[in-house]
Amino acid sequence: MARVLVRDVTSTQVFRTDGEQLRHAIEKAWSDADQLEVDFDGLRIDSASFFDESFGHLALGHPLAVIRGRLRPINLSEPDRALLNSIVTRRARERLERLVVVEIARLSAEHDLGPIAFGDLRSGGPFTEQEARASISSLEKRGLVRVLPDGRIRLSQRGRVEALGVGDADRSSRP
Amino acid sequence: MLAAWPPPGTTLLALAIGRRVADGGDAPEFVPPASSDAREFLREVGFDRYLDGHGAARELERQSGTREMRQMAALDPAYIHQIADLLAERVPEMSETTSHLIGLCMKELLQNVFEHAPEVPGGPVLCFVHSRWYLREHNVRVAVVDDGIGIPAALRRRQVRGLQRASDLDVVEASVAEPGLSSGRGRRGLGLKLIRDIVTARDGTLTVISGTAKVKFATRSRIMRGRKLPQPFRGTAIEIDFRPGKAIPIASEPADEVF
Repeated sequence: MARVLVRDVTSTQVFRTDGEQLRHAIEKAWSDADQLEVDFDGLRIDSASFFDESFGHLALGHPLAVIRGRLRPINLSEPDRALLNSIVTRRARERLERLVVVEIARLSAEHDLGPIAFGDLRSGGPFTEQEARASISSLEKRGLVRVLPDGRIRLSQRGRVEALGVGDADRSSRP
Repeated sequence: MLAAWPPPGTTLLALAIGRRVADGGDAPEFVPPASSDAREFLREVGFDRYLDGHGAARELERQSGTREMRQMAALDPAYIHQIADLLAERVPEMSETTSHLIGLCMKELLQNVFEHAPEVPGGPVLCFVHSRWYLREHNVRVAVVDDGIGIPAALRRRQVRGLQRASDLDVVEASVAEPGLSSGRGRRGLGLKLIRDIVTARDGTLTVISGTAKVKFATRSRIMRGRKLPQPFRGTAIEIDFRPGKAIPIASEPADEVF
C-alpha cells in the first residue's frame, strides 16, 4: 500500500499553504488501483484550514466514494478524525449542491428559464434522489432556488449566478 | 491602540499560575483605544490590568484559573497547544474534544490575523492572545486582539462585491455569516463561521469588534446582536466564550463517518 507521511510533506500543519502541499502530494500518489495511506503519525493537527485545503479541497472535486476508496488516513487522534470527517462531509455537500444547481440551471434553460419538475432533475443528474432533495433544501435556504407549492423548482437570479460560476470568478479575481 | 511594542518575535507573557511558556520580558503596555466601547470590551476580555498600566497586578477576585497573555508576530502552533493542554489540565470537566476545539478556534483566529498581515502598511501585524477560565461561571474565554487593518478595511480592499458601500457592521456580520468571504485566491474558507458554529453549539458566544462594528453571536438561538461604535477600533478584537463541560461532538452539523 502506498503511503504519504504527512510530517515529511510539510513541516507545519496549520496554514492553508501547508494543506495545499499535502494535497499536491496526495494527488501525485493516489490512484484507483491502490489505497493511499496518509500517515499523521506523531502529529496533532486541530486546524480546520489545513484539513480543508487538503482533504476538503479534494472532496470539492471528487465524489465521496472516490475519496473514501482512494485514501486511508491513519494515526489520527479521535478529535482530528472527527474534524476531518466534518470538513470532508461539509465540502462533499457543497460539491453536490453545485452539481444540483448547475443541473437545475441547465434544465431551466431548456424550459425558457421556467420552473422544472423534480423528476426531470433526477433523470439527468449525477446524484441520488436523497442527495438531490437535501441539496435543494439547502439551496432554498440560501436563496438560490425556490420550491413552488406544486413541487416544481425555480432558479433565482442568485442561483443563476452561482450556476454560471460568476460568484467564484468574482472571488478568484480578487488580489 | 497598543504602544511600546518590542521588536517582532519577542514574546511577552503575564501569567498567574507560575508557569512560563515563553521568553520573559516586560509586561506589555497598552494605550487605551479612543473608543470607550472598545475599552470596555478589552476590559471584559481580560486586558483590564494592562489598560490600567498594571501588568503584574493581582488576579481579579472573581477569576480563578489560567491567565496567560502572549504577544505574537507569527502564528506559533506550539504555543496554542500549550494553552489548550493547560486548560485541559486545569479546568474541571474539560474534555479532550473541548481542549481540541479551543486549539482549533485559536489557530483559525490567528491564521486570519497573520494571513492578512501583508496587507498592513508598515506591518508586521502584532497580536495578543489571552485565555482564562472561571470556576464559578464554568466558562472558558479566549481573546485574540490584533493591530491590523481590521475586517471592514480588509474586505473592502479585496473589493468583495456588495460590501464596498456597506457599513462596518454589515461587513463584519457578513464576514462571520458567509464562509470564505475573506479568503483570497478563490478559496472558500470556513473561518469565522466555523468558529461561530462551534462556539454557539456549546452555549457560548463569539464577539467581534472591528472598525465601528461590535457584533455578538449568542447561544442556542444564534441571535446576533450588532452595534455601531461611535469611534472606530483599529484592528480586530475577537473573543470566544463557552462552557467546557458541554459534551458535543466537533461537528455542529451531522457529519458522515467518511474515514
